[in-house]
Amino acid sequence: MRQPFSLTMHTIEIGDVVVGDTTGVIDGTLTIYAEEVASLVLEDDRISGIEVDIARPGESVRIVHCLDAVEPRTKLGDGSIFPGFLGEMETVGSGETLRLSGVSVLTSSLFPQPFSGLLQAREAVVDMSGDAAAYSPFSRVINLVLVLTPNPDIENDDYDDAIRRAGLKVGDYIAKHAVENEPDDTTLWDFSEKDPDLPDVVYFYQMQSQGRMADTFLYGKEIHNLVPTIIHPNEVVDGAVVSGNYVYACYKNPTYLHQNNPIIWELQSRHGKDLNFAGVIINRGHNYTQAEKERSSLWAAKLAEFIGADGAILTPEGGGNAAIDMMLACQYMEQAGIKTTVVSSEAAGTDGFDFPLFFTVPEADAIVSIGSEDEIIPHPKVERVIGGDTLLVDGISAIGPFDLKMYFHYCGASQVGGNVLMGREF
Amino acid sequence: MVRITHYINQFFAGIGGEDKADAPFEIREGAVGPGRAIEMELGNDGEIVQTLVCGDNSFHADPDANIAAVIAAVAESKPDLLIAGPAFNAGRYGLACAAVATAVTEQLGIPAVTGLFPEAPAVDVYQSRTVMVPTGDSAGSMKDAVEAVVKVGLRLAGGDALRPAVEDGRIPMGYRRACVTDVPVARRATEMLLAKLGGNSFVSEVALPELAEPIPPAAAVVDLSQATIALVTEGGLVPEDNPDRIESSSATKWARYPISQLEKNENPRFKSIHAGYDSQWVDADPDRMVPLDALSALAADGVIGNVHEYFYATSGTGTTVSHSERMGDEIAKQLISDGVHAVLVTST
Repeated sequence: MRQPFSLTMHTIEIGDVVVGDTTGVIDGTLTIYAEEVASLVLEDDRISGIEVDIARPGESVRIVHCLDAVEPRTKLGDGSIFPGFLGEMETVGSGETLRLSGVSVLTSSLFPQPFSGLLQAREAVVDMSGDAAAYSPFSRVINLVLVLTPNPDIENDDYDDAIRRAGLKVGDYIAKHAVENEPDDTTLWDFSEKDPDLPDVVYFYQMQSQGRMADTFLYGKEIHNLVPTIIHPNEVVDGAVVSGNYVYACYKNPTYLHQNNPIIWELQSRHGKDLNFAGVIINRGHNYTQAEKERSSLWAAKLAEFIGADGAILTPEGGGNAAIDMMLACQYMEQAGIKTTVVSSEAAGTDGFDFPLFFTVPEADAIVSIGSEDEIIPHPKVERVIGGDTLLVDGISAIGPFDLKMYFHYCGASQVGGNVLMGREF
Repeated sequence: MVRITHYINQFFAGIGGEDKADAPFEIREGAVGPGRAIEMELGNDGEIVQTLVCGDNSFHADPDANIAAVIAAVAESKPDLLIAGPAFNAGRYGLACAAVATAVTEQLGIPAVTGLFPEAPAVDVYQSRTVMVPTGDSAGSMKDAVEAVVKVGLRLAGGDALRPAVEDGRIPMGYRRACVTDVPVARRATEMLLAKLGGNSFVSEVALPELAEPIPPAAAVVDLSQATIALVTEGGLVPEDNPDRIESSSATKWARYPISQLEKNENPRFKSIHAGYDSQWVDADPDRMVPLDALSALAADGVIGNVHEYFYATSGTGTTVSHSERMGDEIAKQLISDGVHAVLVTST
């Protein structure tokens, strides 16, 4: 946890986004030169069309077919923000980074070829106002939406790569046009000093990576066969982790939530005050056999012991399968004397009467609930839909009104805490 | 001012005790007995416009008729709220209060509340359907009970939605909902961990379940060579147009399909609609999910008697425990009635 992991994070707060003749930030308003963004994206001939749109909190706007979301960021000085995708291969987490807060670059698209089975991009909806807006972190930021059209001749996997790079590239492009601006806030991310009187807390960060459409990338590479790995918190927030996960809208952690993982930001803010942030253990969930699950969970617990953690916060990404991996890790950590808190979504059925967890261990006595994946959320008729006319669910007309399960709500059951929700007993 | 109908038994109406438990249903104007305490608590916020009285035995001698009489009276006076009891730990009276409150809410859409001791028999029966506040076990706790009933009742009469049970001071109805909170998830998680590390008290936001009863395995098959074996899967294998609309996740339905169709695997072809695993190999060869090839070979060799003429399917991902139990029970009953001796269950 020593140097070089000392990261200076500059934040420019964005209050509005508008379209104009030059990309840049003036007095908190981000102006986007849409034609320039379009040509940047269309440099990749796997993408045949783009529309740039803006969705603001409070507007009667719905965004559909949401894929990845990225917070505009760039490195100041040498280096690039998403190594493995942009620029040379290197590690991130040190130096200086500029971020534009309050805004996301959100990609929306259908895929060129039909899907079958697990590995498909399922519907993901964001409402910018109304009751359904409580169920997405992207209802609370301004979204620069890139509505993309695929080159019809390419394969889905190829297009997936093109979409990911488009979002990352545009995020970097926007932040690069704000490097001359005075930041509103500068925070030093440095955990090298530890207070021996405070508990050492590790974050067990479980990610989904099962194949295309259900992937997470670490420095540009899928983590399919990753054994649990120690990574510095600065690396996670500075672009080492990129999402390619579109299978379950409610659970997924888009790149934006890796950059802004609320658990990591909370632990950062409390480091040296009431805890020492001792590190992050990345774990690939959805292991397929019991033996693989136990291997992975035991390994994660072992790493937490290596670090000397007194406590751990655990989050999964996914449903029942992911819950088993996380709960086993909780069990093995507790058995090793490491106190745990697990964060979980609930699945108590649409009426809420069922037992809300898929899998538990007796050691999981401290559970934080982020809400439900099963609830049916009424969506009103809206003035405008961005991204398409019909949901990928039962041919529902996207303009509304309709009822939709939380499952299809973009980050509606965000297990890293993207929403301010809690499952409560009534 | 909130207009209230109040339901009580013969004892609280001052008719008499057990010897008057057969007092018939009657309607009285205004507040009676504990209704006066309720009106005191209400102050200027509400009044009891009518009191419905029924003897404990009389109510249970013909609950349908008495509930119909309650519904007719309430439908006519159109109150904003019905209060039943409080009934404390009373058996028959508690059940009558809960039944009346449930019927008024469900049939007339008028909010209703009753007060019961948490271990009263009516709680188990009506908990999920009606609003109950916890009381002491006897009328000695009338003052607190009235205060609690009025507090929740006035809120509901004002058109407010239910709040979480602990905030409302209610007996939980047993369902859970996602609520917007003041404290972000990450802060709650960190503070819970710090409390645990510091040996301080904390409340888990989800309580762990009671340990499930172990299910004893069925007796072994006596003679496999005479046995009919069925194939059952949660792997989501269905005809390609999914005629029974089995859900890809959080399934509530199961179906069975002729094994002869699966053997042909054309018109219809079978595929998996399960949203929790990569089904490309199953779609290419359904035997990899439902091993009909292997089982048929065993039947041909005489190792087993025969393969049952249907296979059973649902999709097992994100499925709630109660739906799983129900579907398992339904499938098992069908298999038994079809004379199946043993089942091969394949999962994902």
